[in-house]
Amino acid sequence: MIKCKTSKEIGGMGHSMKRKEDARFIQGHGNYIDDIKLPGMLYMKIVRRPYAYAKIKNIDASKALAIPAW
Amino acid sequence: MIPEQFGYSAPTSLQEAFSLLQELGEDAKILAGGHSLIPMMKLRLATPFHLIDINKIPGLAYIREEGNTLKIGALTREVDLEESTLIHDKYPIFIDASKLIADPQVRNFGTLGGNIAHGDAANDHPAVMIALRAVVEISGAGGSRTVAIDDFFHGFYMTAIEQGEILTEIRISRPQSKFGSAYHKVERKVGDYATAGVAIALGMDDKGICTYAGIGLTNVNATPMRAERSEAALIGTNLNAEAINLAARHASEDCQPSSDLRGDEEYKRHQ
Amino acid sequence: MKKTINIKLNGTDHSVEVEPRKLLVHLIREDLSMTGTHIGCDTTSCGACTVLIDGRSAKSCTILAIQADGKEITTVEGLATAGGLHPLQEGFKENHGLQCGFCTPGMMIRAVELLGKNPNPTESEIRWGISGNLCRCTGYNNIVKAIQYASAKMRGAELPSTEPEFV
Repeated sequence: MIKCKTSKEIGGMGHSMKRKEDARFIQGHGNYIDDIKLPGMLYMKIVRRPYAYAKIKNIDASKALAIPAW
Repeated sequence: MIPEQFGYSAPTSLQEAFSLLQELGEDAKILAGGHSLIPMMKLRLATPFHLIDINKIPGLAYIREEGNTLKIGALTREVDLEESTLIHDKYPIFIDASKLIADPQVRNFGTLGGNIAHGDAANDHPAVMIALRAVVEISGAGGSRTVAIDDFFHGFYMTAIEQGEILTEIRISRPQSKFGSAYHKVERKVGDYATAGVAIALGMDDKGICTYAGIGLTNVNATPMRAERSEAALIGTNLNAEAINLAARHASEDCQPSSDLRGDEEYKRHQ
Repeated sequence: MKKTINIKLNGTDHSVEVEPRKLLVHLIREDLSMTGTHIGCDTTSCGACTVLIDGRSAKSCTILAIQADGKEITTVEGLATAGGLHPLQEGFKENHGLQCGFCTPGMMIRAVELLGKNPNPTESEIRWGISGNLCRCTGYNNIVKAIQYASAKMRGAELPSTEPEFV
């Protein structure tokens, strides 16, 4: 195989590129979705239907509402 | 995932722990390493009313030899077994088993006592204890008693530990003869429970005749299991291929594995 | 039910009221706003939540905050010093030891303890040492190289090449 490599000064072909974003990832500043906190932010959980193509007649949320929010 | 609410105490002496256990009754659970209990609580498979954290009680973690008996404190971490020269030199079976338990972070906290007291046939140390014919010390407000390992496991998550008691020490008497031990398990990936596991300890006299055989099986029965017929098949022989094959056949006939995601019954018997 | 605990997180003392059921990872991320420690699987498998508790690497999703009372905790935010990046951080950066970066903090924290106990590990000792940390995008080859780089740097040995290999 022919090794294609430009000189060190030119860089590029055959050289690894350092990534710009690594600096924050390795210091714990990745800022992933779960890391973001906004004022008044609420948490949500989606409850999916247990049956496909069934008609929703009503939703009983009393159990969920009974849980103290925190 | 967050566990159900519970109360928490961290006593600094065994006496204090015993009185808490008596006061709180059955709803209290002992927290040692916590690496079986806390995951179960997060999944709400366990919902203890109160946790008694014994990690602040001094003097429960040690590995020492007294005469011919190895004594291990119940709160000794897996990592301490792995790094102990005494264990390395004389009881390599613990190294075999400890290294196969979960992963390094879990082994930093998981304890030998917890692994046994949990009463789970999928855990690795119970089979080791069976192979070595260990005796466990169980302590309560009234004092301590000892129970042979064969009388310790009563059923799924059930052991000889009574209400108000704590497992405090594991004792192993080393046979006088030439002695060797090993643990092997088949697992799907690092950190998984065993598909099947076997702990073996053998002693031989000067003529090469097997005088001691201890064989414990992991995760192929409702409780950790002694392969009695396999042991009998080895004792008195010179451990030739024929005796070993017979012992293996007995073990595969006598175990009662249940089929699960790790493999069906036939596959597990074959291990 | 709430109890006050005292912990030192990356060198700073904190006194916090916690419910006994609060997990250490939630204390660190929510109460103390250090979000470098991640929750990956939440079931003690992936190691993204690994922190040091008095120097021992631990999965903080499986430790109660209250158990850390009186302890010293180190997270990824505590690795770099005024003098610059930790050799492990440098190793991961130089060797492309990360892509999405989610497992990286736990991986590096685990490697801190590994190199503390075994300053010059073999490749298989490194792989065994990080067997409780899962990476789902970079793959382990460059992570192993990153740890080897940090090991060399910390021992003052010659640094291995970070140039790509031609196959």
